[in-house]
Amino acid sequence: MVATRPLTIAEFESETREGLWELIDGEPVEVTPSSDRSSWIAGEVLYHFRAYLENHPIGRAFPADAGFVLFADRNTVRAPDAAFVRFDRLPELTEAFVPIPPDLAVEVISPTDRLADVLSKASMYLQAGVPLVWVIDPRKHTATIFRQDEGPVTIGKDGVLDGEEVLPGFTLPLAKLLA
Amino acid sequence: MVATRPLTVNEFAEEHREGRWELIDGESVEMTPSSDESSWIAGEIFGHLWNYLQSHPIGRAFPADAGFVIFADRDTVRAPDVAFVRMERLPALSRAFVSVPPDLAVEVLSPSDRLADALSKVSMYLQAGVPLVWLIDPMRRTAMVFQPDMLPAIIDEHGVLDGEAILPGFTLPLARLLD
Repeated sequence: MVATRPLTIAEFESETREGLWELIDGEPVEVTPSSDRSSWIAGEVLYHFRAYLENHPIGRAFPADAGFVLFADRNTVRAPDAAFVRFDRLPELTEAFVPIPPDLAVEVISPTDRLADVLSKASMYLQAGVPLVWVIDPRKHTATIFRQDEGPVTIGKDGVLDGEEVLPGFTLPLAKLLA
Repeated sequence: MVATRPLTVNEFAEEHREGRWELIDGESVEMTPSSDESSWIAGEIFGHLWNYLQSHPIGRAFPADAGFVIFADRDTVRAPDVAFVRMERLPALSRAFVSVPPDLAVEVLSPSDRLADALSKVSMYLQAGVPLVWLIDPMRRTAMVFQPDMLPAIIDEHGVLDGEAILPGFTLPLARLLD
């Protein structure tokens, strides 16, 4: 590994890069493009968020290309496959990376993803204070739900993703994503 | 956060420090001492592991103070609460940190630990190739079992920790650790 100087968020933001990149403690890391299935699922989740938010205008949903500054004191910008942020935490858009962690982060595992890396990303969201994280695994037909103070819970294809306190009343049967 | 030059594993090994420290990508991080319950549970697991190894001499068990160099290319030394390394991967001891990641890493949560930090540590073990990780949560009377390419499995207080392919025939009912 070549030792390079870590980048600040401002430096990362000002550089032009092909593709989707994240910044992890100052190190830019390219995000592998998703498989067709994973991308489609992330789009479906976003669509269901949008449909819910039409009737419950409590925040904004973001697709996979949004970068979130997860920590005030670490040069880290990560891009969930889908995300939701409450209006009271992000009243206005900034023309820059979302300056705060999301309230709900969704990751959809692609065949090229290592599960350990996905788990690392989910735990980083939790460290940043994200109250609810969903990791959807299309190949195993499961989703794993991470919360702040409980161990991760995995639901099967008959299970339902619940918005809990973050998206009250939002439910999405996992089967709808695995068709 | 004060920006200091990252330490190499060798520099970290040479410094005298009070207490227990880990090195995470060149940054030394002090570990909070465990609670009495967590320390006792880790000791029990070590004891059961040691007993098993008397009749199955397939490797070595280490208590909480062993440091493991878990990546060849990252300055990272981590200390599981209990660990096991197969003999073939560590034929001789070296008077230095264990130079390979363990085959089993066990973490026991203390009340002062954040679950997100524990999950982050677990995902780092998995990224390093550790094939089996147990995360014991005495407060919630559960354990989480992590293996590469498998979603985390939760066992409750009636469940059993199984050595799987790493420690064939090793079983430890969780209830024995939670009395």
